[in-house]
Amino acid sequence: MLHWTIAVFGEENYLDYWKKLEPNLLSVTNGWSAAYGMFTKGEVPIVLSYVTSPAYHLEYEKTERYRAAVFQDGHYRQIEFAGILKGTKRIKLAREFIDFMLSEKFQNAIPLTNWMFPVIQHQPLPDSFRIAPHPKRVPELNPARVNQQNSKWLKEWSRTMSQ
Amino acid sequence: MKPHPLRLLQISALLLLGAGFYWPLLSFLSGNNPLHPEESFLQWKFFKEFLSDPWNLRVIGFSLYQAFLSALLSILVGLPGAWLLTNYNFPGKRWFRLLTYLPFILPSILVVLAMVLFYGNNGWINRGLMAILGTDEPQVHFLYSLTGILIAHVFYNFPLAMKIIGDQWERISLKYHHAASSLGVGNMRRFFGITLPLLMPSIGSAFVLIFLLCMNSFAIILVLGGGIRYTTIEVLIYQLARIELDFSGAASLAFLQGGLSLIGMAIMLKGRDSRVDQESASKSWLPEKLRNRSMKAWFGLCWILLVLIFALGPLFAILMDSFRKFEHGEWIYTWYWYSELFTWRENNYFLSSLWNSLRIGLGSALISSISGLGLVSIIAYRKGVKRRFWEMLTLFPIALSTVVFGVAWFHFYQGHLAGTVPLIFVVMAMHALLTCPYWIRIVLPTLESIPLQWHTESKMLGKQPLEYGVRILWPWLSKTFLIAFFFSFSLSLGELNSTMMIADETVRTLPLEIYGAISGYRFSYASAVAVILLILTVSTFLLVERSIGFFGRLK
Repeated sequence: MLHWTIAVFGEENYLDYWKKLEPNLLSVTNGWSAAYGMFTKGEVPIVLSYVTSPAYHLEYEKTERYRAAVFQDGHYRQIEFAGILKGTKRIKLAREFIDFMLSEKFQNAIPLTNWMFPVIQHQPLPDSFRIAPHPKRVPELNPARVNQQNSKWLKEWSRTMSQ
Repeated sequence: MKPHPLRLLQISALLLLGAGFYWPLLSFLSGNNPLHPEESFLQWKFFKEFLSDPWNLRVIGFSLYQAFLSALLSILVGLPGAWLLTNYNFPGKRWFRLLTYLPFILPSILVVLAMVLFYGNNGWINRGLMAILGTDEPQVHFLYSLTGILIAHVFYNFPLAMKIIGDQWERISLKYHHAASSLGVGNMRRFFGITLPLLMPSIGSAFVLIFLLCMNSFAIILVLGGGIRYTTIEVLIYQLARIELDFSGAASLAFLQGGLSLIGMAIMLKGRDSRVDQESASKSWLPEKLRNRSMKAWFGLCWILLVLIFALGPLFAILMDSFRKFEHGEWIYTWYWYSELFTWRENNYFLSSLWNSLRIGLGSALISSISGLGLVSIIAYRKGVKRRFWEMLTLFPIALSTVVFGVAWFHFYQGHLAGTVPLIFVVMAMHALLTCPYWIRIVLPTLESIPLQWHTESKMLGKQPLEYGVRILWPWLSKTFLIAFFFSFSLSLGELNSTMMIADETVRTLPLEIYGAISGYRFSYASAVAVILLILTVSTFLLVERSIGFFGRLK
């Protein structure tokens, strides 16, 4: 969310956005879990989650009650990844495992277990994914810039939010 | 010469504390930063920069302030409880005691959700009020402010205060009471003039413990404080370690926090040398006193009812939640999650988690008790600087941020233990290190209420230490030992942060199962696992109690 505001509003204006948002925030949690728990227990009407979240509720709870809002300015993308450590002693095994992760069988299991879009789509998405919108725009920040600036942004952000 | 058995115990306890806590920590901190090998880990520059920023100083101030308030309130809520348990018996007293301990064993994420379910804007209390008053607006805003933080901290900690203070209260001699009465001293003056000063050691002990716990509290402060509005040192540590991967900064801050806690402890642990005579007070039967219209008894009853609502409400909300399932747009009540738990299928990790939690809990409680005994015997009856040194040395493991403890242990494990020691023993040892300080806090006040001359007399009579232990110490302390053991066990059952750092499938525990379920949308399943965790604790308590032959004696 922080990166999204920086990508959309720029480094000069993102804090203004947060200042306007702050009075409407019930809480900022230490992770997705607590926030989403509060959301599903009816404590809040809106939560920051994934566009794929409604698919879970459709698949297991047979309800279309939960919807993902589509942002005009696009959505920030969360990429989950796997890597091989530089100093590994079992490079061959590690490569084989990454190949396995990219295999059809593995990727087909992603939507209904990790509730994300697969990296390689081998078969049509499960029916419940019809409720997950495909964002048209995906604003992004250069990873090198994130790496360099993140700690500064976090600092500025937490100071703005706890005044 | 045959080594004294107590010496052996003391040495092995110190070995565990040294090799298990201080060595991994110090070798980790004195080494190089794993992400930037050219830099050393702790940097003075960091402290200087951190402390020169007024915003950070405010964060430090707030951390101390909320911990102080939380500890104070927990003691104010716990004190009437200690009084009640000392002076009255009532039906279900044992259960009452046991139930108030339960919040302690839940992983903090579930405590947060339990608080939200019960005290939240759409929680039970507010929905009840909205139904009565016929409005749609939440009537009371308990959470998402400093009040939210304090409610949750008191919910967690007042049983600890009740236990530690109550134990000492039981041992205040009736002599004082009688003497005061015959001098015509009123109840109030007797309490403030005699009872309270005699209770001070245990009040101090409880205060220190709760203060430290609240300094390290994290999820509660963030979520129930209303997000980032209230920032504490622990929140900054988390940001550094988990989001920015700046372990060096996190460790430096953790050290600063630990240091502050130590200073706080040094002030609070100062001067406690009051000795208390023993002669257990007789207890009145509460229902009878209620019939006699005793004001005090009615006050006691009100306290019990309020505490039952306050402390058990959130737990009850979890229980109800475990029977709920959202389907076709509405909540239905079902056994579904429990049948999920107990069906045998390939991916059912619940049963193995249950077994792991049980083993690790019992193993670590045993280690914690043995080493606790060794450490307690070093501290007991000492005075002055030496005493404070030992007390701090043994308390530091809980004064240090668990995030940093976890990372240090991860390195220690990878570097020295992986492949040689089965992981399960490693986790047991880790839990024992984290629970031992509590064990010590619980046992110490009771042990020291035994007059020192008993030890000397038994020595003069040529009694073997073992005989002295079995015939004198055990009967006197067994109830306290039992509670301390049970406490260590239940803390181990609920431990998540440090286990998560090194656990794999072989030591997957119930809190990890809960954590996994919650990150996969299955919140009610997590509630069901939590209910099992609670049942497990209660039944273990009853089992331990029975097996020691205490049934009915533990009032």
